[in-house]
Amino acid sequence: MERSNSKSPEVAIIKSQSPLECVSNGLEKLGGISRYIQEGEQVFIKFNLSLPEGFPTTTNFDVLEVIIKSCIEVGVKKIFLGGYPMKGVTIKEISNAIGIESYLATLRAELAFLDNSNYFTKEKLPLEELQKLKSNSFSTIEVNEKEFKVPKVILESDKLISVNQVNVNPLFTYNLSILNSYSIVPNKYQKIEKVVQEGKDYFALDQYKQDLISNILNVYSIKKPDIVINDLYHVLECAGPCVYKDSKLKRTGFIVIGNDAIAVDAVTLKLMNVEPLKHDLIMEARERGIGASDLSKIKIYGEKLKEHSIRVEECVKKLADIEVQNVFIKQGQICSGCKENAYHLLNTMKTKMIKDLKYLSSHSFLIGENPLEPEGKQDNIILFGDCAINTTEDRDFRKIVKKTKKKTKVKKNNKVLELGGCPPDLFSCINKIIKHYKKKNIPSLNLYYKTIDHKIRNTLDKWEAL
Amino acid sequence: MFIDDLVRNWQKMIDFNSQVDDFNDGRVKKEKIRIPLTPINIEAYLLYYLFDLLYPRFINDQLSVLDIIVSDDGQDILDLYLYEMNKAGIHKSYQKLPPNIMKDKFFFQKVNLEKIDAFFNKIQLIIAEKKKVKISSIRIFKKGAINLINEHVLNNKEISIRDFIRNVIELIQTIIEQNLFYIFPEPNILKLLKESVNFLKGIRFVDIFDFIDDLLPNLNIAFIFFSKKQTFILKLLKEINQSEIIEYKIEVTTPEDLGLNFDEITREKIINAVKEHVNPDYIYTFNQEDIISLLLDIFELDVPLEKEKFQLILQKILYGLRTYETNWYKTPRAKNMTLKRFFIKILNLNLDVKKISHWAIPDTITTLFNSNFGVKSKILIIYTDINKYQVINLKPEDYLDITFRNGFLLDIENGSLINITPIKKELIISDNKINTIDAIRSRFKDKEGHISTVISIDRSLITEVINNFMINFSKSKLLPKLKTFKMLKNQYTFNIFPEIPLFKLLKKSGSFSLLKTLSSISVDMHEF
Repeated sequence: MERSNSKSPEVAIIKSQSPLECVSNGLEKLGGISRYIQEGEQVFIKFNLSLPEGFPTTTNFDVLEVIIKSCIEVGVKKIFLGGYPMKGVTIKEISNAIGIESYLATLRAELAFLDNSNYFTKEKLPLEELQKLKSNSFSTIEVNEKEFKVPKVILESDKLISVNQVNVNPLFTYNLSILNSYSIVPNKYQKIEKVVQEGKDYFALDQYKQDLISNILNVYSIKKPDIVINDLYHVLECAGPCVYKDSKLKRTGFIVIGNDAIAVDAVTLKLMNVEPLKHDLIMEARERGIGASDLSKIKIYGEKLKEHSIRVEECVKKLADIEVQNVFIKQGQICSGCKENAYHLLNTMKTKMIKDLKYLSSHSFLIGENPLEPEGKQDNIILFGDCAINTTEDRDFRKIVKKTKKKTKVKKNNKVLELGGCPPDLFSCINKIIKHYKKKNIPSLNLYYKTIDHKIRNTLDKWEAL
Repeated sequence: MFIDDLVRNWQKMIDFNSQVDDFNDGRVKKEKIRIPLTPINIEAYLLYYLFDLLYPRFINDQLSVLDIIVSDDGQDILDLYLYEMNKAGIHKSYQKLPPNIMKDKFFFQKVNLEKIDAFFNKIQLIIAEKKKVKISSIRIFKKGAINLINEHVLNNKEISIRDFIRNVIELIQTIIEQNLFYIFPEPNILKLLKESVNFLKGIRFVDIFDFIDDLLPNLNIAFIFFSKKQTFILKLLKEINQSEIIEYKIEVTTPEDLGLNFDEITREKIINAVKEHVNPDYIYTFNQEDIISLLLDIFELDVPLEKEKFQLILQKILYGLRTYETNWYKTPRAKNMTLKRFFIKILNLNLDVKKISHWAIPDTITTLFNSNFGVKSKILIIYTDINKYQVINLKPEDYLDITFRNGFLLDIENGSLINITPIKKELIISDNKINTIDAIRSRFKDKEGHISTVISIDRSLITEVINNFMINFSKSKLLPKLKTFKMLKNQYTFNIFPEIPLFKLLKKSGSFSLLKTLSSISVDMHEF
C-alpha cells in the first residue's frame, strides 16, 4: 500500500476508464474510506445542486453512489446529502427535475432539504410554522466577527464529504471544491454587501472579489470536509458552470481525491495548467494559513502530476466575447459581482432567448459605473446593476424629447429596462425582462419562464426573509 | 457468376444505353426494364435518366469503372469487368478481362482490401497500360456478395413489394456487416451506411423499417419529382389486404405515360393528369434538384451525428418545409382558409408551415434538451402499445408490463446520440415487483449505472402525431391536434420520470395553451 500514516495533506490523482473506478481507486490509494469515516457516524455529503438541470450542472450520480455505498460498507449510522442551489431556486424543484430524492432513498441515503422546500408545496403553510421550521433547522456560527446560519444537519454530522463537479467558472476559472463548500450556507449568507472603504478604489482593487474570497474562506472554516473529491472526469468547458448554449462537455478521465480541500484544489489547478499560487482563492487561503496550498508539501498518490496536463477551454474573459445576438455591451467600471452575474444573464439570454433576440432587434447592455453610451438611439437599453442605473440618471438616452412648433415634450424613455441590484440576481432579472417586453414578444424566454414553479419560489422568498 | 436473370436485365439496360447517344433519343424507344435488384419495371429511358441523374451525384462522377469479383477471403481476383462510359453512370459496354491481369507486372494478383487505395493505383496503372482506359473507380464484390445478390434476385420473384423492401434492406445490411462490397473512391452514401451499421450494433435496418411501417397509416399518395428535363411520378400505396396483411404497391411512371406530350408539360397539367389517372388521396410535388440536394447533405453526415451537423441538417429540412407552395406542393390544399385566418387573428394562434422558424428550432431543441436532460445523459425509452393488448383497467404499476413492446437505452453526450442499445423486457420489467417508470429507473441502475430519465411512449401517440402534424400538417382542424396534446398528458400514452421542467409544464398546461406556446416557439411572428 502506497499511503502514508502521517496526517499531512494527501491527494490521489486517478485516471481510469470510468468515474466509478476513479473514485474507488482514489479512496483505496488514500487508505480506504474507513480511514476517514467510522462505524456509527453520521455523514453529510455536500454535492453540486445549483439548478434543476442534469449532469454536469449537478454532480455525477454514479460518483455519489460509489461514495454512499463505501460509507454504508463502513457501517455509518446515517447519510445525508445536500447543498444550497443558486439564489431563487429551491431544492424541491431540483429534486423533482432530476429525481434525486427517490434515487438516494434506494441507496439508503437521504436528500437534506436545507431550505425546508419539501414543506413548501404543502398548502397554506402558515408563516409561524415556516419560521419554526427554519429556526429548528439552523445554528448560528460566528467566524471572523460575521454570523452565519448553518444547517444543523451539517454541523451535527460527524463527517463531511465534498463531492465537487469541476466545470469552468467565470470568476475563479474552475469550480473548485472550496466553492462547493460555500453553498453549505443559505444564499443570504453568501451575498456580499458593497462596502466602499474610504480612500480605496472599489473597482480597481476589485473589493467585491476580495470580500467574496474572504467570505468563502470564512464559510469553509465552519466545517472542513474530511474527504474531498474533485470530479473532473468530465468537465463543462467554454461556458459554465451551468449548461449554456456554448457549453461543451470534455472528457479528461481524471478524478482528484484528498483529505484537504485546498490541497485537492491546488493539485486540480496544477493539473489543469493553472499555477495554484497565482489563483486568488488559493493565495488567500495560504495567507490565512488555511489548508495546504504548497504542492511540495502535499503527498500525492496515483498519477504523477508532472506527467499530465489537461487543456480545457475556459470561460470568456470579456462579457462582449459571449457574443449575444443583437446585444452590444457598453461597459463602465465593474466589480466581479456584476461581471459574474452579467455573465450568467448574458449566457441565459443567448441560450433561452433564441427567437426573442431577433424579434426585439438590437439591445445596448450598459453595465458598471459610468458605462459607455448606448449603440443607437432606437436601441432597447438594459441597465444592469445599481452602478449603471445610478450613474446614468442624467444621460440623454433616459428621456425622449419631442419638439413641436408650440412646445417641447420630455418623456421617459420606455425602452430602458433597469435591472437593479448589487449585483442583480439572475431570476429577478428574468422576471423583469418578461414584464418589460411582454410575454408574446419573447416566446422563447416565456417558455422557460413557464417551466419555473413560481409558487414554490414565492414561498422561498418568504422563507429567506424570515 | 451472377444468375442469368440478373445478367439478362443488366445486359438489356446496357444494350439500351449503347443505342442512345442523347437522352431525348431514348425517349422514343418504348421499352420496359427492371430497376436492377428490384421487381419494379420502368421505361428504359427513365432508367437511363435516373442513372444519368443519380449515379454521378451519389456514387461517382467520373467515367469508366472496373468491377472486381474476389474470393471470400478477399485475396484472389476471380473476375474482372471493365465498363467504359462516355457519360458518368451510363453503362454502355463492358468487357471481361482475364483475372490474372496483374500477374505480368506485379507477379501476383492479390487484392489488399486493407490498403484499397494502393491497390486501386496499381490496377489503374495496369488497365491504362493494357486497355488504354483510365478507370476512375473500382467496385469490389466478394464472392459471398454475389451469392447473396443472386439469392435475393431469385427470392424477388413472386413476392410482395413489402417483402422485397425488407429483403433488400436486409441484403444491404448483411453485405456491409460482412464487408462483402467495396467501392473506391468510397461514396458518401456507402460511408454513411457503414457507419450506421456499426453504430446500430446489431439493430437490424429491417426492424427499423418494420417499426416505421407499423406507425404509418394506410397511404395512397403520389410524389411528382419535377424537372424540366424529365419529370417522373412515384405512386405509393399502402393498404391492409383482405387477409389483414400490410401490402405496398409502388409504380414509377412518367407524364408521357399519362398521355401528356413532353413539349407541353407544366406542373399544373401533370398534377391534373396524376389526379385523373393515378387517383391518389394526396399529391406531393417536389423539384428533383431540391431532393437531391437534401439527400447529398444527409449522405455527407457522420454517424454518430454531431450536434452542429444535426442542427444544420434540421435547419435545411425545416427551411425546405417552409418553402411549401413555393418549392413544393401538396394537393389538394387545405380547404378551410377562413378558419385558418380566424385562428391567427382571434386566437393568436399561428400554425402556418410557411412561417416555420427553421432558423430557431434546431437551436431551441438542443438547448432545451441539454438543460432538461443534461449534457451527458442516459435515457431509457420504453415503447408501449396499449391498443394492441386492449387492457381495460390500466394501473401505473403494471401497465408497462402488459403493454411493453420495445426498450432502448440512449447515451447522449453534447447533444449527440453516441450509443443506442436495445433493451429486452426482462431486463427492466420484473414479474413480482412494481413496474412504474420510477421503480424501473431505480432497479435498472444496478445494470447500466445511473439512468437520467425514463420515458414511456405509446404507439397510439406517435401515430396521432404522424397523422395530425405530419400527414395532415396543412389542415386547420384544431380538435385532432388538441387531442394529440391531451394524449401527451395521459400517463399511459406518455410519461417521463423524473419530471423534467418541460414535462411538468406540459402536464399542468391546458392543451390549447400548450399548442399556443409551442406555435409561438416554432412559427415566426413576422416575415423576416
